[in-house]
Amino acid sequence: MDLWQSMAYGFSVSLEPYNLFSCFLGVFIGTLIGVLPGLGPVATMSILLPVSFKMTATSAIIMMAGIFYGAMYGGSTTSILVNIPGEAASVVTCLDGYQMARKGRAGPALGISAFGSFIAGSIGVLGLMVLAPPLAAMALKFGPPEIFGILVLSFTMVTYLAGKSKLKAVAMAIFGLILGTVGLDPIIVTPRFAYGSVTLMDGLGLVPLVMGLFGISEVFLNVEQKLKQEVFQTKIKGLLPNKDDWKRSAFPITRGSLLGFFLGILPGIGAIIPTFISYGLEKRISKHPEKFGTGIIEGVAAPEAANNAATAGCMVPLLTLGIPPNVVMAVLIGAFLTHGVQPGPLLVKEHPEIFWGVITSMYTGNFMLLILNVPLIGLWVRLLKVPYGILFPLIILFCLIGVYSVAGNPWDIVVMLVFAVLGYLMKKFEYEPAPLVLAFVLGRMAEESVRQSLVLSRGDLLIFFKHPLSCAAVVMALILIVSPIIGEGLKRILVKPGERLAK
Amino acid sequence: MKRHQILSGGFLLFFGAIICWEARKLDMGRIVKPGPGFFPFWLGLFLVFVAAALIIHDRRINPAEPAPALWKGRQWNKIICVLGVLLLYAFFLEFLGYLVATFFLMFFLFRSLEKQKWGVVISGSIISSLLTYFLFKVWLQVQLPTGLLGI
Repeated sequence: MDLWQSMAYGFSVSLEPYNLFSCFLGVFIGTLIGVLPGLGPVATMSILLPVSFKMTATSAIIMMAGIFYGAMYGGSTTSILVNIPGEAASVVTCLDGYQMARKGRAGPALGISAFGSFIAGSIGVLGLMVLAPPLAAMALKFGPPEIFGILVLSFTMVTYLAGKSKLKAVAMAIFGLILGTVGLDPIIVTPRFAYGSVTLMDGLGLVPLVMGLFGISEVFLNVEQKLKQEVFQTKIKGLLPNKDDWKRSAFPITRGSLLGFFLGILPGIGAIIPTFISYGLEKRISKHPEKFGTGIIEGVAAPEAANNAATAGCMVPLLTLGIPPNVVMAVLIGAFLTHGVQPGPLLVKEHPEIFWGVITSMYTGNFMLLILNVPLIGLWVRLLKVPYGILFPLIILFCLIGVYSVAGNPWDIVVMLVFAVLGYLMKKFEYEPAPLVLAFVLGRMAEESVRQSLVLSRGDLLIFFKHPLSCAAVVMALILIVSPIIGEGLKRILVKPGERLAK
Repeated sequence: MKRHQILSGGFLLFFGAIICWEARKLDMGRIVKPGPGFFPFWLGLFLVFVAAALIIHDRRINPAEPAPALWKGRQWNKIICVLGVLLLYAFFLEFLGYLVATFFLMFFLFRSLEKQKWGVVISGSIISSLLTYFLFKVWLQVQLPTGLLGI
């Protein structure tokens, strides 16, 4: 099948009424939770995981993906109107978006973020279509050492990109890997760390873990401080950006899309980092960098394009290698697995309807969002006025339903609460949850690949350097690990001891 | 000294050590054919090292920095209450059934998180438990416990 044929086939799947409805449901819920604070795409997708059991695999994944990119749209709406990013990927949008709203240009700001997201999403999906099949074909030749190499590189990237403390991120990744070993051994099915508990014997569930870390703990953090709710009173008129707006945003949107897509492919990056980088890039190459932050349209267009293109980029490693590059994709893997579908190099051959159906649905979904968002902005603004005293109990309830209904096991609620407390404390002590979740999901794959590689090589640890691809990945990881240490060392040598003391 | 950072590092160190200890009880296998204890053991050991590095690093960087007040002025007692009630919910959910247990839970949450008026509390807990019951159990056919009332 060539690309056009595949695309036509994909559209024939994604335009089926049921799939189209799932896509609509996904983007609608996605926008909704993007607008509401306290509930992100990760927790929402986990809540809906049990609901999706009843759907076909294709429609379930179409819906889940819709939630992810729908949330990107919703997040920008609150950033612009109330200066509260509903989603972490929209933090940068606050800078210029809110200022535009204050100047009475909320309409064009919302408009350009919707159009920019649409254009970027479309560019991203095109990239995905072109890049994914050949990558999947290549990935078919990977053995355990190659998989291990890629996983090591992924872990390293995730920790390397971590915010404040890389050491803490490493600790969290190992912690996640250890949590992943709870349950039956993947190769010879011996129970580990179960202590006679049936709940633990099955292994810790991704859903209770994620909902605890991202759902309930977020509510805890919000509950303990007295939040003020204020909605900026502005009349939104004329959502369409004018000619000048378009002229000024055309290149930022293009650059943001390309940047977002290619960064999104890399493990550990996700949709948040590209927004910061693209904002920085626009500021650097702009003729009037001092105007950034005062409410100019480039500052909204570029990061909004970047986060939407990144959502398509994230799908590349998931669909071709079966390796989720970030937490959202890790939950999406859960959706694949509950339907008995293994994402990875064989997906395009074994389940072309899922592969092409999901990819093309992202295109129709982006189109729906564009149409949805323009008339519904008024509704989203009104939603922001729901008092937290009503909202937070509902969020807790949805998390409870989601966790319980995965297996009908009330102990899963207890597991969720344990992780809620852990997530709350992690936030307090400045540990990031993302490396933990990613490592937890990839743990089984990592363990299998190490053990199989060692069996293959009869215990020779150098096997990881004997296969070119795994060697390249491991060496790259080593460079990443060593580079900050060298930098630190150089600083010590260059800065004289006396000056250090004076500091 | 940043006491709370040492505390978290200490916890990780302790956790890693326990994992090593427990993994030793499993079959470690040999390097030619690693067993179930192999991966957890090395992970535990690695965690011990990283946690130790964390503690040493923190001591060196901020020897005299005062600990930030993490819980000062925060309503952490609310969190303890919510946690307790959610635990009770987990234990009584199957006995009471979804509708009854959820009604009591929502009643408590609406009243305690940010005090709502009694009218809002009562109508809110009835509406939210009924609506979710119909949405998830009747329409989406998600399995939720029937309990006392048998529905």
